[in-house]
Amino acid sequence: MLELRELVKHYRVGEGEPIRAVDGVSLSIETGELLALYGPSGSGKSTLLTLVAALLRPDSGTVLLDGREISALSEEEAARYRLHDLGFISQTAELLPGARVIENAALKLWLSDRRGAEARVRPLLERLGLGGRLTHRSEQLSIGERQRLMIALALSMKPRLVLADEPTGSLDTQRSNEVLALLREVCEEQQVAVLLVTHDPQAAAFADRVLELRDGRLGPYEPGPAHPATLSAGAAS
Amino acid sequence: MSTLKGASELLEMRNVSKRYRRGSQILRVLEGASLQVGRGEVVCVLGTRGQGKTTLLRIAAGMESADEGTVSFDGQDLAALGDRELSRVLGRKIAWAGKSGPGIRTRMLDYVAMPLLVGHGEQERVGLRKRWRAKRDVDERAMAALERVGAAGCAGQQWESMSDWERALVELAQALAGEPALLLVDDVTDALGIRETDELTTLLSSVARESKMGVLMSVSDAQATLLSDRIMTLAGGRLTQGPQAPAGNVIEFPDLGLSRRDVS
Repeated sequence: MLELRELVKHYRVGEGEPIRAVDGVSLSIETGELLALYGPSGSGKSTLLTLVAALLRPDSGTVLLDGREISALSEEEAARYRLHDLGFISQTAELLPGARVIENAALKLWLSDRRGAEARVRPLLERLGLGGRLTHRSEQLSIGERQRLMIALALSMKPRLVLADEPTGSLDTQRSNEVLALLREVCEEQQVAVLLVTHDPQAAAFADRVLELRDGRLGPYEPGPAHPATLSAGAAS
Repeated sequence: MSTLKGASELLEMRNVSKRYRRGSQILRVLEGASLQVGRGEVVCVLGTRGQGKTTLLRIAAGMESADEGTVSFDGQDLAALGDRELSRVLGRKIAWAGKSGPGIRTRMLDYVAMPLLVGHGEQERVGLRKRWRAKRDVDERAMAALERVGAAGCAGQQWESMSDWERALVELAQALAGEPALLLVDDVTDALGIRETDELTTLLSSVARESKMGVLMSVSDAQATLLSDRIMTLAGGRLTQGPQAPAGNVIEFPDLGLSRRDVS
């Protein structure tokens, strides 16, 4: 479904050696699969997501979504791709102040001029446990509820792929586990692939597959024997 | 906006207190804070980080409730408003400019248009004679807001590709798009340089005067108080009247360890 082939992105800062943010990354994700990219900060995770989102062009290599070359899209096509084919979830829920839960969830549909936006997102919000909060303003939600609303917004256009950048970075362990379990379940039901980047082994434990990114290069994820991810590997099942 | 109530302040906060519980500790964020913002007036709340400026603004916007004290907007007590009415006031009359950026990766014209898409209720929206017409109107109003702040060139851009200065202008455009009566600006000058800060405050000051809009802005940089009508300082939960803003080349805020110099 999503395929990255030999993706390279280097930055040059001043006269120094180029920073090899993404250095020959190849991977593929299937429909409905949750793939976690684990890595410390500065490992190139966010750059990789930016390349997949076509917000940045690679120096070389390709991004393919259902065989379509994303890295070659025009600005206008890339904007349409981001709105229609992708959903985004980040660490902080960037919601529209003053707007109600259902309005925040319907924003992408309204921007795309779709009819019946509120009716479309209502079942999704109910599935995410926000059915009793539809007319509350986003400020009235807890942090965990705000992240669930972000999931609803990300899925509102029925995207092919969700890009999640440390989606539970601001939550405590229990809420983080709840949100990740829900993200995993709902995306599986809706057959949406998820590319999750995280430096939290606990979050990585919810993935179908985990790969490790270090200095821009991808490798196998090898948690040590006392690794928290190993201890909680059953959390997602 | 009704002008019949011209005698009353647009925003009036009286003896507002707010405490948060953190474990067994009680954090006293605001203690008996009072301030007024009139129509066409720019009021700055100056304080270093973590002093509760954002909390103060959130209470002014009705986004959070005060533990004690009252907040009235256009003569109405916010705490006495029903949920529906409060949503209407928040969506239509009070606007918020912060630094958060969009939750949707989209062009900035869409981002600025977002507040115009909410707050009507679906019935009203689809009941418009032709929906495409409604969306076109929204885009036109969003474009006008971008032009007003001098950021028309950002309409087709993505948040990630813009500078801090462009982001501040786009945030402002989004807040202005719905032509609010009260604009709350939460530390948008924090990431800006001195010239940009002066340019932004000049812009805010002229928008406030032209539109008779009240502006309450929180700032951690004393430079951003340059064109405000009044400066309040916030430290240790206490809000106090700062030195008068106009004239003078340097204003000192000894309690905060901050100072400001005017740029000629």
